[in-house]
Amino acid sequence: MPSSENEKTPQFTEAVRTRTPASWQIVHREACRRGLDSYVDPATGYLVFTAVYLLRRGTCCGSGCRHCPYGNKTRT
Amino acid sequence: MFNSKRYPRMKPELRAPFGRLLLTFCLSALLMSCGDEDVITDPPPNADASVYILCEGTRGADNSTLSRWNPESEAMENDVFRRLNPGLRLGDTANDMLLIGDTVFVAVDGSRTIEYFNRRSGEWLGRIIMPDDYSPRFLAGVSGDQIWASVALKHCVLPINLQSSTQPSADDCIAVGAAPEKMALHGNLLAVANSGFGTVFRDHPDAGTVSIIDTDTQRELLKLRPGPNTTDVCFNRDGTRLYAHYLHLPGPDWPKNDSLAGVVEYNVGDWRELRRWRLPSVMYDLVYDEQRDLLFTVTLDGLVRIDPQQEGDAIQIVYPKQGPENEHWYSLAYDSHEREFWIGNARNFVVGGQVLRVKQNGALLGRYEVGRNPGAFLFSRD
Repeated sequence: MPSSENEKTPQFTEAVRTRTPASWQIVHREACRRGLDSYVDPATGYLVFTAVYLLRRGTCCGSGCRHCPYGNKTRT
Repeated sequence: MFNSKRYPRMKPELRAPFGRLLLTFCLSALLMSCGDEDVITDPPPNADASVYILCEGTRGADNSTLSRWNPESEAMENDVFRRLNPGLRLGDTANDMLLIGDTVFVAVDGSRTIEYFNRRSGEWLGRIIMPDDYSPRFLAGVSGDQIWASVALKHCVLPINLQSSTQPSADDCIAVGAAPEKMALHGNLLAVANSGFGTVFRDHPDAGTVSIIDTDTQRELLKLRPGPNTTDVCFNRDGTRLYAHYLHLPGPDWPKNDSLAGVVEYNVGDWRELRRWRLPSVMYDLVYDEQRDLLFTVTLDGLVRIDPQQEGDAIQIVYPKQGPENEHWYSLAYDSHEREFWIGNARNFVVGGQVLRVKQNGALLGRYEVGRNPGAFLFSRD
């Protein structure tokens, strides 16, 4: 992993760009860590239910939620 | 319960006794299945040393659990709090643990309580009930009569007098930045990471700050601004440096060209920013190794070491991340006695968790199945 201290080298910038996970993965993790029911998808602005909420809901709604814990992710 | 249609030819006077018998049998079977067959009555082989792992469970489901690892047998026991204390549960979303003397304090966010138990026996000792709507998120304290609880959604930290028998008062809560989470205590200085609660309060003017509180006067001295979503802070060994971690959250100008996350070093006293380590990776949690004066964190690449003494290439991977892509490293702790790291893996947040035990040289010593969302560790030793 490249490392840098107070430097913005081209390699470092490229590493940030290429190694950035999907933005929703980060906000989903942050929401789950805090027990939140939903988060706003950074790319679309849609409200997305967290896996934690969907599990607590108890049953699958059949909508193909992104974090469906019941295996119904057909729409994502 | 008794289906008379299924037995139409049975005489009515015979149906009732049969039904009662069936009902009694069913109830007995139900009671036996709910019995405390898995209650732990014997003390662990070495009660003086153990590692506790706090598993949050799922918010709203009242299913936080405590696991205990025995260093002698290297065996993990799950759900020990309930099994050691029949009839009791930890509660809903237990976030953090703190050891004061022989007493372990557990902040239970969703239940709005702080439970405490004896570290050797696991015996429940009591419960501190927080004021209405003041859910404890993380705890801080070293010894003595006072501990601190961060109350994220009220943007304050609450000092709790352990000698007092009265309920803590909301009036005593000291206002800090937006959504305080983890804290660090050194001498009379309490550093509080005001994260902004991820994206919830990201636009709050005091999100992504660190509040420095004088515990003697119980006043906030100043706010530092390391970066967005500051969730973790720690002091170095002699309290001359403070380290704060930040994480850029996805937004219009994301990803940042300079970093996704980083650590900022401050000089305690004049609170100057001394250095800033930028990471081209998402980063969570920050622990400090007092013996070697090193910082450790977890990134998407694995367990990473930051050497504050090093001028050049200070950041190195100690243990690379392995396993399935959806593995979520959720928490990190360092056992300075055994020189081992403990990493909590929440997997996909909705199934049982796992913890990894890694030697300081990067050797994986073991993986253990635990409860859902392992979020905090506590090393209990004489």
